[in-house]
Amino acid sequence: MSQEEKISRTILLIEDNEDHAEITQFYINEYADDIEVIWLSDGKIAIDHILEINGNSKRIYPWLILLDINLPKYDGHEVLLRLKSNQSLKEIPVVMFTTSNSNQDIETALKGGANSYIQKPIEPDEFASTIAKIIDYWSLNQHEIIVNNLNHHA
Amino acid sequence: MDTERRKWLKNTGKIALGASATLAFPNIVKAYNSKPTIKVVGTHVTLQEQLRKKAEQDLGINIEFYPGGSAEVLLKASTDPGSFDLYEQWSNSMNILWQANAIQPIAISKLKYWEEINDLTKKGRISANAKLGLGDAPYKLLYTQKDGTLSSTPSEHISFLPYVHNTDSYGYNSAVIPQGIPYETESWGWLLDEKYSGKVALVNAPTIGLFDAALAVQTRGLMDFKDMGNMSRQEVDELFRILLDYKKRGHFRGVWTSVPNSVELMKSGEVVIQSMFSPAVSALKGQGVPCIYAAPKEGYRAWHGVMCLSRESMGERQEAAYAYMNWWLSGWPGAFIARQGYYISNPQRSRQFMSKPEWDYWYDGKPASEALKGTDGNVSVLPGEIRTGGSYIKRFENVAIWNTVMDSYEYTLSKWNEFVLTI
Amino acid sequence: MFKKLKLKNRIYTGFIVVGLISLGMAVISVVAFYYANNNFGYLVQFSNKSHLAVAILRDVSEIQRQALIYTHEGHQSAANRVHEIHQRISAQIKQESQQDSKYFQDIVKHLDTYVKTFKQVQQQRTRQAALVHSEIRILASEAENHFLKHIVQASSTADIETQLNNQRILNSLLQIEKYAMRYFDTLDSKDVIFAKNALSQVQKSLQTIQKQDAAKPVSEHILQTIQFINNYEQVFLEAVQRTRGYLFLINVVMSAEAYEIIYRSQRIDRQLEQEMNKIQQRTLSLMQQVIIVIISSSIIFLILITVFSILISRSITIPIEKLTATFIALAKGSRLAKIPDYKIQDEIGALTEAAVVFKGKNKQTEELLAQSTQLTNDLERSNDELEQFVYTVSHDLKSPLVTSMGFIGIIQKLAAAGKMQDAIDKLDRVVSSNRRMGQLINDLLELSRVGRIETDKTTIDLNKLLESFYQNHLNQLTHTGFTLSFDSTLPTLYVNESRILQIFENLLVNALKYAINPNGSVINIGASETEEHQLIYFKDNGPGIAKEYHKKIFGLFYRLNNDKEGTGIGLAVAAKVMKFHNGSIWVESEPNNGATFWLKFPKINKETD
Repeated sequence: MSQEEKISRTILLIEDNEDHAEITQFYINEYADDIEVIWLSDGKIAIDHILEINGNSKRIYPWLILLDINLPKYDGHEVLLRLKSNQSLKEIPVVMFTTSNSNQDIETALKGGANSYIQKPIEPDEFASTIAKIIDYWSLNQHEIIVNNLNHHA
Repeated sequence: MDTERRKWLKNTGKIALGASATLAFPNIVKAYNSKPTIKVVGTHVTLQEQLRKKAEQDLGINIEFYPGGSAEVLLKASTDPGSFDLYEQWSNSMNILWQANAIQPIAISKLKYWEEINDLTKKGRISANAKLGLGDAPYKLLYTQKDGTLSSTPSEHISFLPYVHNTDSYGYNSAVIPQGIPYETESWGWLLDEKYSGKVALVNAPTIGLFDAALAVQTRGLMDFKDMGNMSRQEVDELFRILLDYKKRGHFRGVWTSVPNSVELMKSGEVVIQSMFSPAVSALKGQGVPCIYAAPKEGYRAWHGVMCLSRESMGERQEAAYAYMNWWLSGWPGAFIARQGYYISNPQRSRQFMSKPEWDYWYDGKPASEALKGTDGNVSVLPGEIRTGGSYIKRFENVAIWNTVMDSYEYTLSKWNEFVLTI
Repeated sequence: MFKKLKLKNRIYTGFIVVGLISLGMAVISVVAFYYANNNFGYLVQFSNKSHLAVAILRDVSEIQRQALIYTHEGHQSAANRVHEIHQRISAQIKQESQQDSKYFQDIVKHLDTYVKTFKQVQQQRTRQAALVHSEIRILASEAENHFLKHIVQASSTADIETQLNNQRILNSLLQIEKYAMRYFDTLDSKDVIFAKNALSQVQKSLQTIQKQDAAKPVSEHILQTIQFINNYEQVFLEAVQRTRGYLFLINVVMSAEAYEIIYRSQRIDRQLEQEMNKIQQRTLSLMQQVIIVIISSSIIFLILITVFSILISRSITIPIEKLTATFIALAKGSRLAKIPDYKIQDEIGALTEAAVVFKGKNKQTEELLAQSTQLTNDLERSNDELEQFVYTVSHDLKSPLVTSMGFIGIIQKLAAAGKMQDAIDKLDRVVSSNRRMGQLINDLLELSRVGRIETDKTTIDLNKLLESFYQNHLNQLTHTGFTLSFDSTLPTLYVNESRILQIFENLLVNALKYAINPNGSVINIGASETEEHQLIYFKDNGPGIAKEYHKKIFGLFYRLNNDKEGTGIGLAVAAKVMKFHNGSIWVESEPNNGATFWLKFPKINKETD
């Protein structure tokens, strides 16, 4: 099997901290090697990218979006809103992945339509397990069907 | 009357008689130092002070006047003839006096001016077409008869000296009552005109005022009289019934008892029409009240003054009395009283004592050509005025009735009392 | 004038005026009723007077009646009655207060004439009575006697004819008496004539006899008879005259006088009636007037009361109402409540002053409240800031820790997988993130040290300060290709030198990092001023900053661009420093058009506030 065939899912990681992005990517790839991580560091670029997907039948919808709140230019809440207000894109689960544990942020995010809210762990082992849990959970959710549908209808 | 004087006079008279058989008046003064005194009893009408003084002056004798009210005078005269020499009154008292034997007949021969006396008293008519007035017309009482009665049959003696006389009627205030036309619209009936109700008065004398009322009643057709000059008791009753009716309705203000009284009544306005005597009319006119003495178409009520000689007047006093009588007809007194509106029995002699305007006005009934004064010095006649009724002749041609004492006199007195007191 | 009185006095005045008006009304009423009472008094007086007129009328009728009775009957009692009544009338008139009036005077005159005449009547009547009842009778009987004697004498000698004649004469004598007496009863003057005729007849006959017997010695009796007959005639006539006389007096004269009295008393009556009517009218109109006066004065009274109550309310209750409203407003805390103008020194004046004080206190309170609100707001803002600060700190400090621990995990995994080199390579990442964490902590400490700096302020000439600043950074500027120029003379400021310098340091650092212009980066520093502030600007010609970030960039640890070094604390420090100088810092910028940072300082003379 070629690398392309092996890849069945994409996770879109919107994160401005390069280190955090690298760590996250490491653990994702370590856990599931059929997932491709697309990393965008800028909120605006992320939106454009997603919109592009929307208009381009050649692009593939991500299977999951990991979204940080503290982003330059557009902040995470805005990106979330953009995603969730889009007819097609709103089906894609968005997991807030951030250092902030303020109640304000949590509330805003959930109100904004975030599917989940997870704090970036600071224990070394925890990072891996957290990633694993995320992937497992959403795998169980069988939302590949939804995404495939989306892809087929695009 | 003091008896002292009487006695003294009697004595004096006796002396006089003794001294001279006949006494003619001019000689009296010369003959004796003491003047004879005559007493004259009468009313204010003829007993005026001015006359007395003039007479005294002219005659040279003492004259005492005893004026009083008619009744009083009459009573005195009829009961006490010794108290007077001459009695002046009205012809309506003649019968009483004669009956009372208080007076003596006057000898015509001793009257100087007998011939001049006009026919009014001698024959009863001033002129041929004059009416004969009802009642005690003086001519009926003039001549004394041998049987002791009085009548119109001429004789040598008369009962009274004819002198002052006049026609009376009623007076009215022409400021209130419109002036009427003499002999045509003026009528005795006015006295009973209800227009003047409450402002009518009569003279308080049944022998005078009653006739005013009777004339009024007759002319209004309220009753008829067989002989107004001698009413029967029934006629008197009927007359008074009518008068009482008027009195009860307040028609009459009342009765007046004296000339000043009558002047006051009209002057004050209490009365606008009433029986009147002519001096009152003159007085009112002199005081500015336009009083008119009417000339009623029925004729006047006339009166005649009588001068009578007392039964007791004898000798010197009698002579003096005759002198006074003659003096009255000597002209001046006649002119004097003419200015008061009275006539004298021999007017021609008085004419020379009057100015032409006076004669024209008073006797001839002509308009006054100038203002005429009365005997009080006040103007009593304004220029242009005409004497109501016209001339002397004309007036005496229209006598309806004379003041009279009727047979029913006593009866009329009590009826009169009732009339006066009825409210 | 009313408005200048004290409250109490105004109330008293009001009451006094009301009292006076009532008193006035009472006086008017009393006076009016007094007049009315007087009028009633007159009425009573007059009604009493009218009795007098009625009494007179009655008395006069009575007196005349009695007089007539006396006249006809001759009763002395009637004559006495007449005099009695006369006395009574006179007495009544004397009592009369108005006895001087013309009517009463006339009545008295007529009454006097009446009584005088009556006395005459009495005289005449008495005389007549004497004549009629005694003398005539005596004379008549004497005459008869003598003639009878004569008849007796002559009967012997006389022939039949003579005797018959004598009989006739005797009869006539009797007839005379009959007629005479009849006259005095009936008062018919015909009887007088009959009597007179009979008398003259008798006289003639007697005279005839006398003449006949002239030769013979005349009978004494005949002579006597003749004499008596003559006397008889005289007396009879006198009696007749006297009768007529007094009849005339009573019926004509007295009745006229009596009538005049009656007439006048009637007029008096009528006068009284008129007076009474007048008085009645007057009283009526007076009563009407009284009523009108009372009604109109009541109306005036009511009007005055209304006016006064309005006045009083206006001058008493309105100030009270206004004050009440003011106090209510003041109680609600208003400091704008209108205080009514009231200058009089009375209770209301005192309250007004209190209201002024109240208002002042409210104002104070409000100001204090404002202050406290301000402080609370400030505190809240500080708290918010603090929260924000804590949040930002926790987030920004946490991030390198996550990195550090994350990489440590990776290193462990790599090591476990035997990829030692990869693991060692990753150690650098741990070191650098920890280093960053240390940097951040240092910067935070730095920021916290930007505190109260009042005591450290001095007067600094910015020109000199920035000149040395420029010199210090010259190398750096040249190295990075930046030009720094001063546009104008900079002012002198009362500031903390090091802190201000720090601001410029941070601004320069940011400019060097972010405000790069490919055509040449230029920084301009200049000054401006307003009435109350000094303004300094730091301008670059870099790519500019989008509007949405103008406020955010002053936030703690906020970085537009994470590429470059730095913790994003520079502008936050600058903002804090400016705040403590009572000034502010902001940016004006458009993309592709550079950015201008403004510093605003309050002017020196205001800093001491």
